[in-house]
Amino acid sequence: MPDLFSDVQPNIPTQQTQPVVSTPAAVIKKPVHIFTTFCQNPRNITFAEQYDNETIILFLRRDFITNVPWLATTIALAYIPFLIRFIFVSLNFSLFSIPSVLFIPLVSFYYLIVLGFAFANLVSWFYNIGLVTDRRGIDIDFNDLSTIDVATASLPDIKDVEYTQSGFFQSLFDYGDVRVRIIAGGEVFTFSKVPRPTDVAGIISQLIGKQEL
Amino acid sequence: MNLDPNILITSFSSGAVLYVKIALLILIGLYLLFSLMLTTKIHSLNKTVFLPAESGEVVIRFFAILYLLAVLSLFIATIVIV
Repeated sequence: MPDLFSDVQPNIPTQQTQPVVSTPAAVIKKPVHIFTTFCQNPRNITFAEQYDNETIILFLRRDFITNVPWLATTIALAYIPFLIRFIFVSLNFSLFSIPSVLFIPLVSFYYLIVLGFAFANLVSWFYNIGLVTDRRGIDIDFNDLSTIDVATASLPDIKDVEYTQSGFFQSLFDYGDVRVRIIAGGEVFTFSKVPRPTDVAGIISQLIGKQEL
Repeated sequence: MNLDPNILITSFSSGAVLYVKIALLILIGLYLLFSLMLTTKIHSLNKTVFLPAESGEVVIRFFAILYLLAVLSLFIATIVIV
């Protein structure tokens, strides 16, 4: 008759648990270039008030395709004086004759404005950065030129991560919004128009899971 | 009644040139403030996030200063030349 209960413990192999945090030796740091929009384990990036042992896991910017509208506008604005001149010459019509002494500063000023518009948009894209570290998420917004908004959420405070990809272009170019819901007050912290939102949400979820273990 | 399109052509008198010059100087002056603000914002953003040189941060900073100098040069040129 078989023993139902026995003092002798059977030799069951113990289940190997995965390390909660990967060893630093296993992590390959990648460089961030001027057009980098998604970089896992970025190299040589730090931020103000970073802890000594805090590691940046994810570096995010808006997808580069989101720059197309302002790039197209800049090109259109650059051609507008030529277009106006062409129309006026072809109709043999002019509203006023501008002296050459005024013409050069006016045209130079116009093109400096066009260049400034492009540069301001480039700077806005370049410095709209999202960072995910092993301790928190940081969202740096530089939307209009007068406002710098830095939002931080520590990983234990993060309740939920969700992403949305709406519309044809977001699906085609694989970018979207990643929303991080924070426990306190249910505030939402958004990495907007970032590439590979599925991966971003996955990485943040993994980090939250590691924190909870 | 036949209207000659060239009737709309007005010649700039020296007084009109002066008015346009003053208006242009005010506009360029305001724009100079905008470009100065852009440069200071870039400077403060570089104190928030420290990006490596390979990320193009140096290029952005250099271009911001170059742009500020270009607007300043235009302001001075408008005073001197016009």
